[in-house]
Formats: sequence, C-alpha cells, structure tokens
Amino acid sequence: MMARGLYLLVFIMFFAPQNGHGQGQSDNWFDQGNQLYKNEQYNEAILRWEAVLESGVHSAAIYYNMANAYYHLNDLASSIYYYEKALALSPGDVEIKANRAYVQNALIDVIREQPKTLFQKWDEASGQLLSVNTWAWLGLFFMGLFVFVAISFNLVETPSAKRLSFVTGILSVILFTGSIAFGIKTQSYSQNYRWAIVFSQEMSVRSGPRLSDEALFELHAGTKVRLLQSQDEWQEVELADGRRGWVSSNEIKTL
Amino acid sequence: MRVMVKWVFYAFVLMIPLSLGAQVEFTAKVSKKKLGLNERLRIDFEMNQDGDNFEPPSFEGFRVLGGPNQSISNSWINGKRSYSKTYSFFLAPLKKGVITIGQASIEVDGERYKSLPVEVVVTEAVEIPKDGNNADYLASENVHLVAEVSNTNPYLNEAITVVYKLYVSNQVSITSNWREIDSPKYADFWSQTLDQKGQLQIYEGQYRGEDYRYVVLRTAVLYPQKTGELSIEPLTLDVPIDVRSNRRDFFGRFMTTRVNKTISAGRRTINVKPLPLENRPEDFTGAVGFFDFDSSISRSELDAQESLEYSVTVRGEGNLKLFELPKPQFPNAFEVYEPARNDKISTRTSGMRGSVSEVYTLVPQNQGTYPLPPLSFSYFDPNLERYITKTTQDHIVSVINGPAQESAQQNSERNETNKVVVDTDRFSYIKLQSDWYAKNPAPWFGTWAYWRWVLGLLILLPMWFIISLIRNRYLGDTASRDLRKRKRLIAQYLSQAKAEQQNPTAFYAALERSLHLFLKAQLKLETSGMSKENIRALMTQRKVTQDAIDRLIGLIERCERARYAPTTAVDVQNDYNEAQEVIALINNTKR
Repeated sequence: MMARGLYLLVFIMFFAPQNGHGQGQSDNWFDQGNQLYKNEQYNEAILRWEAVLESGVHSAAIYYNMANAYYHLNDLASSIYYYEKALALSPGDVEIKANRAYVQNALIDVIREQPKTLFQKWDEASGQLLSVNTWAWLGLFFMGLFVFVAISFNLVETPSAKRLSFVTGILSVILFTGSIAFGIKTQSYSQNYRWAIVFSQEMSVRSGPRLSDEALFELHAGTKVRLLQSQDEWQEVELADGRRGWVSSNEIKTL
Repeated sequence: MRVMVKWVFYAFVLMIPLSLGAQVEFTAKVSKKKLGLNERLRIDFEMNQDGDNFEPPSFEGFRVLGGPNQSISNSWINGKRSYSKTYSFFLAPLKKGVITIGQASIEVDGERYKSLPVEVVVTEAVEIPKDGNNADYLASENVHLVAEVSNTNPYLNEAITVVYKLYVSNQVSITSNWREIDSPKYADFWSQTLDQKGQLQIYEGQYRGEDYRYVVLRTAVLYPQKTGELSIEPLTLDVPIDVRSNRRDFFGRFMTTRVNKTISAGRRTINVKPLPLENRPEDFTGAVGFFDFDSSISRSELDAQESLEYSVTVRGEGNLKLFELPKPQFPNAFEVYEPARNDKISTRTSGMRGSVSEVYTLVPQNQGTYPLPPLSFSYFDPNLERYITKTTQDHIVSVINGPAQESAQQNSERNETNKVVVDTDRFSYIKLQSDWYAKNPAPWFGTWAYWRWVLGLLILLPMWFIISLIRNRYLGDTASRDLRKRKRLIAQYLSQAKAEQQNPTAFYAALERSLHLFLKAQLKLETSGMSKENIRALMTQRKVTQDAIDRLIGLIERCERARYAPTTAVDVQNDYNEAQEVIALINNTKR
C-alpha cells in the first residue's frame, strides 16, 4: 500500500516539467545580460537574453528584463510586446504590471475596454487560471488519488477510515472531471484568444483585406489587438473596446 | 578771292568726315502691313544722308498709283543736324496673299545702300477701307492689353503668374487715367493680385516685332484648385488715347485727338494637370512646391505639470496657405492643447514664400521617458515631377519628477480587469533570478498519450483486485478465509432469529438453534454433548473470558426458559443484541 503510493509519486516526479538541459549556460548568459543592463548597454544585454531564448527556454523574468531594456531604448512596441509575454507566463506579477503602466502612458492609443458581463469575466478568467499542462497534471493526480483511495477502501476495516476513503474517492472523481474540463476550456481559450502588438508606427485599420477598402481608424505602435481570422497577408483584429477591422500582417507581431 | 576758295575747300574737307561719321540709314516703311484688296498702301524709303541714283524696287503685285514723291527735311536743333530724304510711293495691291516688296537702293558717297524687303499681307476686300490716318483705327492698332501667363499647363496647386501689360506704340500716347470696366474673377483658383503701387514704371519692349512702350498694370499669382480646362476672365479697361492727327495748330504743332477705347486682354485658357497618382504618399495633403520640414521641442527634460512646446514647421516656396500641416501624435499621458498657427508668408510674382508653423503646448502628467514619434511630410515637386517625403527626427522627453501612481490609477480606470496597485514610485529594476521552462512544450493534454496515462492509472484498480485475489488463493491465509465465512455464518445463524422477532416463542427457538449451530461449528460439539458443563470446560480451554462464557450460558438458559414462560418484546430485542455481542466476543477470542 505504502509502496504503491511511493511508486505514484516517483511516477509524477519523473514526468514533471523538464528543466532545460544546459541550464548553467542559460543562467550564465542571463547574468551577463543583467550585468550589461546595469552598465546601460541595453542593446548588448538584449542580444545576450535573446541567445537564452534561442536555446529553447524562457521565463517571465527574462521577458520582463528585455521589456525594460527596450523601454530604455525608447522602443515602445517591443517593450509592450515583451511585458505581455512576461505577463502570459506570470499573470499576477505586480512589478511587470507597474512597469508596463509606464510604457502604456507613453503610447498614443488609449483603448477603453468594453464593460463585460459577469459571465464573460468568469469565462475569460477560467481560461487563464492555470496552464493547460498544469490542468493535465492535476487531472492525472486526481485520477491516481482515486485509484489509490479505491484500493485503500478495501484494505481499511474501521468504519471511520472506510468513510474517509469513500468521501475522498468521490471528491477525487469530481476534481478529476473538473481538471479535465478546465484543461479543455484553457486549451480552447488559448486557441481563440491569440494576441498581437502593433509594431508599425502608424497604420490604418480597414473594413476589408484590401488596400482599396475604407480605412476605419488609425492605430499606433504598442497597441494590443486580438487576432481573429486571416486571409493572405491580412489579419482581422479586434480591440479591447470591441472595434474590428483588417490590418496587414506585417505591421503587427503575434505574441 | 583765290584764298577764299582755298578756305572754303578746307572747310569742306573738314566737314566731310563729320558727315561720313554719322551712320547711313536707309529704311523702307509701310503705312500698314495688312490691308484689304480694295485699300491703298503708302511706302516711304527714308534715308538720313543725301543719296543719289535712287532705284525703287519692282513693286511686283502692286500697281503704282503715284510717286516717287521726293521730300527732304533738314533741321538743326541745338547745333545738331538731322537730315532726311524720303521717296514715297502709293500702291494698290493686285492680288491676295503675302506680297514682298523688294529692296530699293541708293548711292551715298559712292557706296550703294539697300533697304530691307517688306512683307505685306493682302486680305479680301474690306467693307470700309481703313484709313491709315483715322484716329479710332490708329488707337486700336497702337494700344494693346496683354495677359501673359507664366505657364498654361501647370499642375494642380502649382503657382502660375498672370501679368497684365499695356503696350502703347510710339505713335500714340496716354496722358490721363484709365478706368477698369471689368476685373477678372479667378474662379477655381486661389489668387492673390499684386497691384503696382504709385507711379507706373515704363519699360521698352517689343510687341509683335515692333517697338512699344509698356507698363505692368497688375500681377496675379494663381494656384489652380481644379484640374482640367480653366479659363481666366479677361481684364477690360476703358483707356483714353491721344492720337496725333494730321492737322496742325497755329504754331505748327500736330493737333491730337482723344479717343476712348475699350480694350480687353483676351480670355485665357489654362489646362491644369492633375497630380500623378502613382507613388503618391499616404500622408500627402496637397502641398506643391519646394519645402523644408522640421519639428522641434522647447525642452527635453522637465517635471510633470510643467509645459513644453512642440513646433512643426514647413518652410519654402509653394502653396503654403493651401495645405494642412501634419498632425503629430502624442503619448496619452500628455495633455495637449490646440496648436497656435504661425504664418510668415510673403507673396511674390513667383508665388508664396515663407514658413508656416504650428506650436503645440504639451503638459506631461506622469513621470517617465516619452519618445515623440517622428513626423513625415510629403509634397509634390512640380519641377522634378515627383513626390518627396521629408521626415523629422524623433524627440525624447524625460519627465523627471511627477506622479507615477496616478498613471496606474488612470490605467485601471481605463482598463477595469487590469487593476494595478503600484507600490513602487519608480520604474522597477530588472529581475536577477530566473527559472527556466521549455519554450514550446509539446502539446500533451488531450492527446492519445495523455489519455493512455489516465487509463493506465484506472486499470491499476482491477489489476489490484485480480492480484490480491490470486495471492489470497495461493498464499492461503485460511484463517482469514474462515473468519469471513464465520462472519457470514453469524449473520446466517441470526437471520432466522431476526426474522422471528415479532413472535417471541419462535424467536427463542430460532435463537437456540442458532447458538447450537454456532457452538457446533465453533467447538466442534455434537448436539448430544452440549451440556453447560461441557461448554464451559471447552470454552475455558480455549481461553474465552469467564464473562463471555457466563453471558453465553445465560443466553442459552433464557432460551430454554422462554419455551415455557412468555416474554416481552424488550427481552427479545435485548437478547438478540446479546447474542450478536457474545458471538463476536467468542470469535475474537478465538483469533
């Protein structure tokens, strides 16, 4: 019984998110970048950090650092782009949000968010709660717990222990179902809610995917847009205030 | 006498070079260059030296009506001699067309001089033959109003100049002021007229190859605002003209006649080309000319709530008043006031020249570094015939002291889900520690691999049951198997009794039977050997507690008694429970 629990634990540990190999090299480059940032050599610092990203690993911290460096280089669009990337990995970080507010002040566009119903808020929050893989692991964990408890139900004799394992079993089935449901929800959220940052200094948002289509309004560098459908070199986007239109894909950068 | 002749000779010798010093001029002049078939023409051959052997031309195509008439005038004015000798002919044309009157020749001091041939146009017969001396005719022939257009095929918005010139020949004069009857309105143009101020300047010039005097009445600078054929309305003047008549007054001077003539500079048509569509920059707002473009800020470092000025300037030559300056975009944390416009434009005959600028007052609200994006300005260069875009450099404004907190509040106001509580008043420093995660984790959730894991866990459950079953069978712990059997038996023994609880007699019979069966199984006793002493002895031997034994015996006794004496429902319930407990006790002891 004990051995079985241990086995499950080892089993989860073995498949836990892999820490990238060559971690030492990443840390080394990251520290070099930090040192260059301290010496106000922002371009060089960004080059170091980009080398880390190219090695296939990332983190909220490195995106945040890059965003700060771009802010010092007065490249607002890149700065916002990396703050958003950092926030995607670490949604609750206060420092990231505070520094992003500085950059947002310097942007030209102010997009007022459309008020949302409570349901819409829940809907969006549920899609951002945890990452898909975390939900996957939770689902697997509760499945394992259920199996474990179901077996122990047959082994314990005292009525109170039996009651406890029964309740735990029922709960873990419910939690397993919930994890799977949230996983599916998060997966569809990340497929439906794709974002991009405007990189062009000034661009027209048009009513259709042609240059001849009417220009509806202008957007400026650093504005965040949601991606909808696309055709050829054109991308339909939606702003936080609900306005929609088509832009050239070259003028925005997908997060 | 002889001496006197000698002196006269010397005087003549001295005078010859004087007369030879003046250049010989021999010209042919016609009274009109264009005449009807039924009109007459007078031609004068004039020389300024006394010539001999005059040979007139053949006058082919003309009939000589009169001539040659010779006239000589010789005058001394202020010691200066002017001399002219003229041979005149009156001619009548014989045919229509352009007729050339050939050269006449004259001999002066042994040299032959020739006049230039003269071309005369002979048209169809006119109704009233023009009298070369008619004052009206002379006035209309000798005064002309001309509108000179600098460019009749300009681009849209390209400056053109219209100069109105009044040509007056030497034969007539204008001594009093004219009146403007109709001044042109330049519809479809942006126009500015530059009127000559004060005394008109008189210039010498040519009009259709003849010498004239002219004055510039007015200059208009026009910027076409429409493409296609545009017409400029004529300028019409009522001019009093003094014409010399043939009559002379008492003192021998020519008398002049004043004629009022309405003269008009003809209607001009201008063909305006549209600006080319290809390569037209998106930010083109209609500027045509040659420009410089610049932007500047009054200061680059300041505190929040202080103001700075941002100015956009276009300087150069072109339609400065006719286009919009590019509108700059400012960071949203700046309060922006309406721009003040500054025009410094002077209009010359070549067009407008100067500078136009707009000055924006900006008040930053929060601290931070704010790059002001570069501005671009496009114009069309009509000389190069292409568009030119000029871009300013970007400016960076550092707001050193000021609230950062407010920015976050503003931010949360405009972005409700994004409530940021900034506890730092400064731009935070970078993070120095980092964990690393794989950048593109392979999709796992929802894949077949993932569901195999879930199923794998689930399958552990039946596997465990099968394994434990097999283990129990082969590694046999019979005791535990019997225990389960016994438990099942107790339930079986007592089930009969339980069913009969409503009927005490039947209940006790069943209970006794059950206890007997239990003891039979437990102590391996036959019903015959089931005396109380026997039971007690065997129980004690099996280390069953005395208390449990007493309770069992008591129960058996009560069962026996109940066969004869009636009992209550309470007893039944108590005894049933007692039986359960006792059986459990004895069983436990046995383990």
